[in-house]
Parts: sequence; structure tokens; C-alpha cells
Amino acid sequence: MTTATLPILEAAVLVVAAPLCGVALAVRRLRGAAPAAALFAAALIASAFWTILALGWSAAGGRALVSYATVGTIGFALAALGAWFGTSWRDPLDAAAFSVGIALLAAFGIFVSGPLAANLPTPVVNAALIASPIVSAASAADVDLLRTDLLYRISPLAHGRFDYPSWFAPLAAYGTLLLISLAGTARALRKGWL
Amino acid sequence: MTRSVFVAASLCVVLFASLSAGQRAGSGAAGLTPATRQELMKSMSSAAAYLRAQQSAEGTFDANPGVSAVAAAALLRQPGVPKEMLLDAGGKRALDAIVKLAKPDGGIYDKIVPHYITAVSVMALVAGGRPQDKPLIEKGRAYLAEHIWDEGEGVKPNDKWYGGIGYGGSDPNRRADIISLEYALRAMKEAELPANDAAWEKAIKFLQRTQNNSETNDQGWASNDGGFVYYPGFTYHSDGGTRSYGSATYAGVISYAWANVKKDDARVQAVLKWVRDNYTVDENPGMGQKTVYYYYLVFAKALQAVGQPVIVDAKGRSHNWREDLAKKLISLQHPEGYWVNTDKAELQDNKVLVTAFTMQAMEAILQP
Repeated sequence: MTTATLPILEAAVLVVAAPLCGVALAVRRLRGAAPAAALFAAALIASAFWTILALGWSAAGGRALVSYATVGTIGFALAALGAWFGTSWRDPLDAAAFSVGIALLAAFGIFVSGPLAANLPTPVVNAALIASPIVSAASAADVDLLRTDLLYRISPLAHGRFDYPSWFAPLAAYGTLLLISLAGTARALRKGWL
Repeated sequence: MTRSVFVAASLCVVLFASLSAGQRAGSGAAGLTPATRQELMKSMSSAAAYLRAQQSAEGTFDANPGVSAVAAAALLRQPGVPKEMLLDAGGKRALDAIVKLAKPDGGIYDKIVPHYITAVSVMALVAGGRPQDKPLIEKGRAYLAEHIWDEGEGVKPNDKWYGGIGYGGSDPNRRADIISLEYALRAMKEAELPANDAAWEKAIKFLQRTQNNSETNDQGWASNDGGFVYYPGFTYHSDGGTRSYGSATYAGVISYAWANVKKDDARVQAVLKWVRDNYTVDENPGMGQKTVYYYYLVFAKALQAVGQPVIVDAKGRSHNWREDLAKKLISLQHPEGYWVNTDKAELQDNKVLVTAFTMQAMEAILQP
């Protein structure tokens, strides 16, 4: 593992952890949401600080910073998604399963779809890459994830036409998801499901 | 006006080249027949017209720096057409777009796959032959030589990656492969990296470790068919294992040639045995139609480089590879002038890229 891969691994952890945290907070009617968000932000800032310290004030350091901003936005968006489902559905286990399922599908669906992915039109592949927190974090850090040894060997996707997302595309996509999820959560709380 | 003058001039050149080729044809024991040569020149002319029609106002092709550079090189190397004419017919615009990608460290790329893009960009600049691009060519070849895995990157000579080169960029994994190396060595050769540069010897180490030749390969997996795999211990042969396959093997043949290994060397003789045992222009042996147009490119360049006009296959049949490949490529061309692969792997569904590969294969066929 290199320093540049740290935000990618953190994004992978967040795919499962963030929606679960969101559901857990929703069960408590969002009590403790502010400290949890602050703790997440602090952990992210500490990790980014450590990474930039290791890489130095260089182009790579700048890219790592963008990557952490992407990971942060994705983390908040997925947690908000979990909170929305948690406040909307009566059974928290259903909410957890659906929110984590959606996050996993977005993150890894394009990797596990095998030859199907290789035959998808390029715009669809590109959209799927924007949706994947793993690819987005890697792309922001300028890591050519699909051409790393393992993925290049096993994924047909790497051998076809695709474009990595620009740094702002995942920020915009997950920023939009964050806003929609927050609105949905507020609406569900007003309706008084819990 | 400019376009019609260019088309008329091209037709004259094609006619002249065909006629002069016809006069020479009798002397070559294993060259092209006059009829095939004439067809080939017509085919290239039509392909060039197709490519030029795809060029953007900025000079790029398909908004892709790699595809742009390969297409630019193919057009600028079109045989029988004066260089000035080629430069005026979009060549200058294509080269100017490439020059804009130059980085301070010598790389010429946009963002991803820097080694590959630099290699094809250097080849395009060399093909252009403009004096003002010479400093970029020299920096580019130094960049490629510098990025061959060696002690500078902490790779020791006994490491299987030593002497190889990969895609480059912020790749957390160390890896190299025969195709990336072939591109890099071809660019270094065309950019006239001195034959005594240490990069060549390092590359030969990687080539040996990618060849199925246990006499010279110190890796335990190596067998003795003489061909090449993708990288030490890994192949894309459809049957798996560590079987040699077509495009990797011809990339190996030509890489030995770029690296100044002579034809009578045992390593080259071993791979030429694989060539004889697996001779075909119908597919990329071991991969079917996958990447078959890159196979045609390295097939032609390799056999031209080693000076092997006739291949006697395992059954004792003689093949004039120039004639075989020329006829095959002509038969595969679409009426609009392009080629495209039925298997889309490695961007071979991209008409511009595949057409550019094919034009370069044809150019190698025409070389003595």
C-alpha cells in the first residue's frame, strides 16, 4: 500500500460504514448526529493531514487533498442516505440492508459485472465510474485504478473504452445525493414515522 | 481548394508509386506482386482520407491523446507522399496538439497512461520530422529510458520486473509488460537513442524473463516454445497457463530487434521457431480476434525488421508474409476506408486507432 491509496481504502470502508451509521442515527431520531459528523470530519482531516505530510506540498499532495474532499462528500452522502432510509422505514434492518446494498452496488457493481460491463456503451460505463466511491476517490488522487495489476488482469472493463471522472463530477453527484437524502430525512421526520 | 489539390496530388503519387513498384517487382523474390502493391497503395490512400476526415479542428483524433498520436504517426508516414504535403494536410495541426501535452520532465501525455502516450507521441513527432520538435523528442526518449524499471526505482537486476516498463502514473503496483515495453523501445529506437545506452541492456533482461525459453529465462515457469507471454508468469492466451501468444510474441521479436539483438542470436532463433510453428494472418494466435490489428502491426514490423521475407511453417509450406498480410488487410477494409475489429477489447472498436495500426502495418509491408 502507498500513501496515495489511503483515501481509496477509506472510501471502501465508508461504503459499508457510512450508511450503517446513518441508519443507527436515524433510529435515535438523529440524536448525536452532530458529534458523529464532527468526529468523522476530524478523522478525515487527520488522515488527510497525515497523507499530505507524507507526500509533501506537491502535485501529489494536492491531488490527495481533492481525493479526501471526495471521500468526505461521499461519506456524508452515504450516511445521509442511511439516515433517510432509517427514518422512512419502520424496520431499521431493512433500511440498513437497502442503504448498504445500494452503496455496495454503486461501489463494486461495475467491477463484478464482468463481460457485461465491457459491452456497455461508454457513457454508461463513465456514469457507473462516477457512481463508484472507490473509482472516484482513486481518480481524484490520480490513481489509474482500473489498470492496476489485479483489475487489469481480471476485469474486462479495463480493456475497453472509458474515461475516469473529473474531480468535480463525483463531488457534484454525491453532493446532490447528500441534499436529496437530507431533504428526504427531514420530510420523514416531519411525517413522524419514528 | 487545398483539399482537392491534395487529393489530386495523392492520386498522382499513388499512380506513380504503383507504376514504379511494378517495375521493381520482378527483382524481389518475396516482395509484393505488382497487382497487390497497387491495391495496397490504393487502400492506404483511402484509409488516409478516412483518417483525415476524422481530425478535429484542434488537430486531435477522437479526443484521445493516444489515438491522436498513433493516427498522426500513421498519416505522417504514408509512403510515397512528400512530407511537406503530409504536414500541410493536417499533420502540423496534429503535431501542434501533441506538443501542447509536453511536460517539464519530458513526458508527453494528458493525464493517464503516461508511458504509453509519451511513446506514441514521440513516434508521431519523429514521423513529422520538424526541426522544432527535436528537443521534445530527445526529452521524450530520455523520459522513456529513465522510466524503465531499474535500481533507480529500487528494482534489483534479479527482480522479474527489472528492465520492463508499465503504463506509468500513480499506480500503486509495480508492474511492467511486453506490449508497453515494445512501444517504449520502438519510440526510443525511432528517436535514435544511442545503441550503447544502458536502457537497451536492461530491457533485454525483461525480454528474456518474458520469453518461454528456459535456456535464457531464469524464471521457473518458463517452457521452451520460444514465444512470449504478457509479463513474467502471466499470459493472455485463451487457454491460460503461461502459454505464448501471437501479439506478445511478435512484440518480443521486434523488441529484440529494437534492442539491437542480432538475428542469429539463440533468443531470436528460439522465437523465430515459434513464428514458424504458429504462422497465420487469420487471427492473433492464442487470442483469436482479440487485439488482432495490433498483432498485424507487430507481425509486419517484426518480420520486416528481422529481414525474414519468407516463413516456412511447421508443415514445410513457404509463406510470402508480405503478400499474405497485404491481401488479408485489403480484404478487411471497409468501403469507407477504415478498419475495425469485431472484438472491442483494447479499443479495437475504435476505427481511427485500428485504421492507424493497419496503415503502419502496411507501411512495414512496403519496406524492403
